[in-house]
Order: sequence, then structure tokens, then C-alpha cells
Amino acid sequence: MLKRIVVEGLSKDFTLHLQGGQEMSILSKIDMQVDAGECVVIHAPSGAGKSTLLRCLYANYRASSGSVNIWHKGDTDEGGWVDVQSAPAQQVLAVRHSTLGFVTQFLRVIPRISTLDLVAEPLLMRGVEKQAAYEQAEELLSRLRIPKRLWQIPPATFSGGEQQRVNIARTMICDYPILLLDEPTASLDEANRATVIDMINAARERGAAVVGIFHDEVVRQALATRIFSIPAAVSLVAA
Amino acid sequence: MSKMNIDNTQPLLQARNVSKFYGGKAACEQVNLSLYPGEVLGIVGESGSGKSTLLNCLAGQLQPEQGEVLFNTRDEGMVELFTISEARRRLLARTDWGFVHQSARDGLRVEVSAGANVGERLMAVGARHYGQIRAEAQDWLHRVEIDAARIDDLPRDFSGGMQQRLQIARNLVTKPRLIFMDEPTASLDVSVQARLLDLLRQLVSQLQVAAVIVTHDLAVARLLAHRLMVMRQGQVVEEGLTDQVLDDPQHPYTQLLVSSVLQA
Amino acid sequence: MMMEMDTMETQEYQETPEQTAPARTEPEAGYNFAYLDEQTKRMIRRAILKAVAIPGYQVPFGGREMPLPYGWGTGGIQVTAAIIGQDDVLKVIDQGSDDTTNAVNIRRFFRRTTGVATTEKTTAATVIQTRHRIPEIPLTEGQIMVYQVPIPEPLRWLEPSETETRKYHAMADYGLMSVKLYEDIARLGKIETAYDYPVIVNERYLMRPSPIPKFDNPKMDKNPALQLFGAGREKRIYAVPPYTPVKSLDFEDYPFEIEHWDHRCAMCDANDSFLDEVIVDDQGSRMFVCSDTDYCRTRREEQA
Repeated sequence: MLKRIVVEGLSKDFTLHLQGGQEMSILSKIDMQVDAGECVVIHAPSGAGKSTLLRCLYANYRASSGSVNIWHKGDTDEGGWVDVQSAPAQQVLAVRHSTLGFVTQFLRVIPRISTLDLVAEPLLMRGVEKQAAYEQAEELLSRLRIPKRLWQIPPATFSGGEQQRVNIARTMICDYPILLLDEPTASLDEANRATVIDMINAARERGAAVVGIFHDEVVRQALATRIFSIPAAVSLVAA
Repeated sequence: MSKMNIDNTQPLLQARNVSKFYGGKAACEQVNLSLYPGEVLGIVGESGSGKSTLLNCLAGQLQPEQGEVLFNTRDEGMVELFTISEARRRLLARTDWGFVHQSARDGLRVEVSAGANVGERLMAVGARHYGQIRAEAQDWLHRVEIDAARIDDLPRDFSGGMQQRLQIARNLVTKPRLIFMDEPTASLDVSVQARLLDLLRQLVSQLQVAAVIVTHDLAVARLLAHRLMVMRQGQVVEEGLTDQVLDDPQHPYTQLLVSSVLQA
Repeated sequence: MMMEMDTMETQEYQETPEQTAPARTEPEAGYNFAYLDEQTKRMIRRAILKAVAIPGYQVPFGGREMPLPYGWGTGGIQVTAAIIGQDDVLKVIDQGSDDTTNAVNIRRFFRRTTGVATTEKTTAATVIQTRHRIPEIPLTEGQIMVYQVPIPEPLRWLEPSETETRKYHAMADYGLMSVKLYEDIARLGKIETAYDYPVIVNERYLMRPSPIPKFDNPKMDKNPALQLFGAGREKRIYAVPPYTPVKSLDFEDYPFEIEHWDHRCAMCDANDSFLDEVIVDDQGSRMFVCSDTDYCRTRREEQA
């Protein structure tokens, strides 16, 4: 079975109570399917809801209606479908822990945690032995050209590109069956961009299902196996 | 955020329709929640929202006028906290729960040494070997990043941040399965807060302890909690995964709360 | 060291050292037997029965106004008054001695109000009221020890609230006491408490044995006599029935130890009794003598 994500009738509206209850309908009855080995690039004009869709896949945004079904395999079972939009919190967290990886657009910085600790943490959470976890983290950071002198420092003071690479490392260090990527190459130079492209392609080749938003046409060409378009209309409904 | 043990289908703590009134006024009303092992639940709201009242009801310190608070004990399954005897409740509070107060003075014995503070719970459950008690106290001081050589110092010789860390050590020494925290960083300087939060994050993750954290600080909630409940005037107005509530707030009050946070 | 007899005594009761067959005398008119009215004695006996039924548990009682102030043994006196009978033989000691002012006065009080025979010999007494010592000569079945207690609550030093300490006792939550012992070792290298050393009675209640030296604690353990404790100011009575286990608190690696002296008693040469250190002249010369005067005298008589 190759299906990894099945989205049915997904709609997302926002009600801006602070703006007098203004309603915005961003997504309307979206259907989508992603299989293992695919890299689906979400394509739409700016503001049309690319990020919103990605966040709905991660259950970061709560859908107004519809379902987001993720093929999830826990530690002990053979696997099953979980609708992350309606599943209990514990299940969603379990899905995020072992199935759904999300590279957000910006790194959320935690004070006092060094870059190395940040990148090694997901492996440690999975019970990987400390030495091995740190070795892998170092390898990944080297590959992404983060200088060694920065490893012991929290990334708060890094440049945008450095932060983004740390963000990528932190997610890509685990082999997620599903990867969601929100502009992972936006702040990167050519060399690093190429490395990240390689990493994403490698993940896809080992069977991951990838859904991403990429601004850059070159990157899109290098990665996409399929383009998914969202209708451009954003309807504003007066309160 | 730590990995939760999702194999357990039984919640560790459950509140059903918990209501607490002061006079005719509801401090918290019809609150329902379930907490699972290893899970961190954040309760956010402004002062007067009822979050501290709710916390005290959950911790067995305040009896609600309505509703039940159920705890999954190690040996007897689910018990209703206010139906069991006070003796049993106090025993649970000493062994299976922890309570970290906003002010370290409320959670420490200020007239005895740091070592005695950490070792007290061990002695309360029958530890009788001075050397072992002391060794364990030193180990815990080390874990909360207090110099173990200061084991005989009194709490008043410690800074506010150290006192708070000492309070945490004192609570965790019996390896409770559930820890309640009432604004654990509120009375600390910002730089000190960061250190404490980092420590809490690590300890909660390492020990797989479930936690209920009351805070008015959304950044603290974001960092520590898996799930969030937003309270306003005694009511739960929104709940969900932490990132859901903070990134996609639905309720008008939550939207107001989230938008009011200043970015440095 | 013999204290001078109270030569200012002008009343008809002269205190004489009674070492052989003690005899009853006529009690003073105008007082009920043993000073307290019968209802009060019943109330105290009820409290004593409760105390005996729950060894080491502090039973509140309605303490009466006594003709001496708090701090002078009113609790012990009320207990003795409630249990003493016409045929009893009473011994009263203070710091081990029968002839200190307090011991003399309390003994006289009971002679005046009951007429019971009194004695200085531990072996001849049926009721022994004591402040701060247990006699060296072992007690026997049928004897009653009445201890004078200043503060009955062992946890009072760390927990000023009475409602809280009662809860600790109800739940056998005695971690606080261990905390005190821990602190002593941490600060001084050993458990510093030398008297009024806390004990666990019948493996259940934490008890304060009154300010007896820790040297005397082992004597309480499985003692054949009935031990009663009275605190007048705090209005509490507690008890240790005969043959009840009494264990002094300690740590496995810091076990309970009694005091030892390098000296022997200068008067009777005993090496197994609690010794008082006495300054004998202005140059600071000192000698060690048994605190228990009866024990010392008995030994000297045997040696003579």
C-alpha cells in the first residue's frame, strides 16, 4: 500500500474576532492524495493558502470541515489511518512523533539549547543512544555546512540561512515516512540549496511521501514529481 | 517536547464537571479534562481566570462543590480524590504527586538545609540510611544544577532561581508520576526563567512525568506543554494541542491573548 | 551530695528519710483525698485508660488548677492524684534525687492530702513520680511510673500548628522528625539530642519521653511497669503499657547510643549509672556521683 496522505473535503475558514468578526475562507473542499515516493509541490499564488494547507496536514491548523487522513504505523501495530483533524490529542502527537515531519518556515528558538543539542534531540527522544545521536547530528550539521564553532551555541544569533539549515537538520535527522516542507530553501545559498535538494530526494527515494512549498522555480523543477494547485480565490465575507 | 506513552489508554488524571464556587461566584465551572502519563497540560489565562483554583482542585487541595477528580493510583486503579480519606490523599501527595509553587517559600522548609529539604520525602516514606539519603540528595542537587557542595546551606542562602530549582528537586525525589506547577517561573527574572524552563523541559522528558502547569506566560506554555487549555472567568474557552491553540486560535479571547504577546 | 533538709518547715509534717517500712499517716482535713474531686479523678482515669489503649498517643484532658504553677509538675501530680490509693507507697524524685526541693514538696503534698506511706526506696514504691530520670534499679510488674512532661508534642519544634501535628500522628507521617535528626548529623556530625530523645512506641506513635537523658531511653523498652506521662500546661496524658516496645529513633548508619563516662561514682563506685558532675570547691574541683540517690545509697549500704 502506497497511499500516505488522503485529504477529503478539507475546508479552512478563519474568523478574525479582533477585526470585528471578519470571516475569511482560505481553503474550500480540497481533496488530495499523496503516495510514498512522491514529492508533491503545492502551487498557488501568494496568499492563496499554501501554508494553510500544509499546516492543516500537520494538524497545526484546525480544519473547518473535512478530513486529513495519515497512514500511521505505531511501535507495535501494522499501521492504520488516522484523521489528524479529529483524532484525540494523544494520537495526533503520536503521529507527529513517528510519522509526520514538518520543516517550518522559521526556526523556533529555545533559549540555552545549543545547536547540537537541538539537532540531536529528536533522536534521543526515539531512544537512540547518546553517542550515536550526537554523531549523526554532527554529521548532518557538517553536511549542511554549519561551522563547528557554532555547534555549542544556541541558534538565536545565527543568520536566517543558518537558522533554516538547523531547522532542516532537526527534522531530517529522523527518517519520517511523511515530510512536510514549508520553504526550506528560501534563505539558502546555491551550495546549501543543492545539498537540501539532495537530502529531500534521498528521503523520497527511500519511500517518504513529501509535500512542500517552494518559491524557487529551480528547486521546484529539481524536486517535484507532481504539482498540486489550490484555487486562488480568497473570499472575504463581511461580518 | 517529550514523547508520550500513548500505549496507555487509561488517563492518569481526570476531571469531570468540576466546579468550585466562592460565595455565589464560580471560580471554575464545569471543567472536564483528561491527562495521560507523560503528558504536559498547560492551563493559561489571566489573573482571575480560575486557573489556580482549578489546579488546586486537581491536586486534591481544594474540594470542588460539584464534579469529580479521578486519579489512577498505582495499586488501586482510579480513585475519586475527595471520596478517599484525607490520609490517603496526603500520602498520594507525598509520594505520587509533586506541587511546585510560584514562591519557593511556600514549597520549601526554610529552616532546614537543602539536603534535608530534598531528603524529607525519602524519610517520610521510610528511608533510614543517612548516607544513602544524603547521596541521593546530592545527586538531585546536581540534576537541578545546584552545586552539590551546598547541600548543607539553608534555602535563604540561595538565589530565587536556585530556590525554585531546589523546590523542583524536593518534589521529584520520590519520582512522582504527576507534578502540578503553579506559575513556576513567574517570580523569577527573565534570564533565570530560561534556565528553569530548560531544566523543567529536560526533567519532564527524562522522567516521563505528567504535568499540569498553570501559567499566564504563553511562551512558557509553548515550550513545555503538549496541550493547552485557555480559561477565562472560570470557563474553559478553548483547548487543543499547544501549537493549535497558539497558531490557530478560534475563540475571541484566545485570539486576543495570542495577539497581545509582545515579541522582543 | 545530700541537700540540706528544709529547716524552715514549721508545720507538723517533718520530712524524715524513710528507708524501711513506710507507714500511713492521717491526711489533712478539708481536702478531698488526693486534692482533686472524685469527678475530676474519674475524668483523668478515663483519659489514662484511653492513653493505655493507644500507647504513645497524646490524650487531651481537662487539666485543673493546681496549687503550684505550670512548669512545676502539675501534669504529673494530676496523674498521680487520679491513680493513688490508700495502700499505695509513693516515691518522688527530681533529677534522680529524693531530697531536692521539688521532690520533697510534691511528696509532702501527697502525704498531706492522702496520708499514703512514702518512701525513698525504688523497690518499696508502688507509684513513682519523676522529673527527668528513670531509677537505675529495674522496675517490676505492678509498679507505676508517672513522668512530668513539659512539652508533649515531639514535632512542635518544626510544626507550630496543633492541627497539623495531630494529622501527622494520625497518618504516622513522621518524616519531620527524621529531618531533625538528619540536620543534626549534617551540622554536627552526630545526633545532638541528649535528652527528651524521641521514640516510637509500639511501632506506631512518635512520643516524647519527657526530658530524661537518652541514657534512660532503653529502660522504657518492654518495661514491666506501667508508664504514665502527664503534661499540665499542655493538658495531655499519654502512656506506655507494660512490656511495650519503645524504640529510639535513629538512622541505620547512625544508630542510637547512650552516654558513657570515663569516671565511676565517687561514692559507690558504680560504672553503670547516670553520673552527675558536681563542683566541690572554688578551685573548680569536681567529682562524679550517681544521679539516682537511692541507687547510690543502696550500693553503699551493700558495700558496708
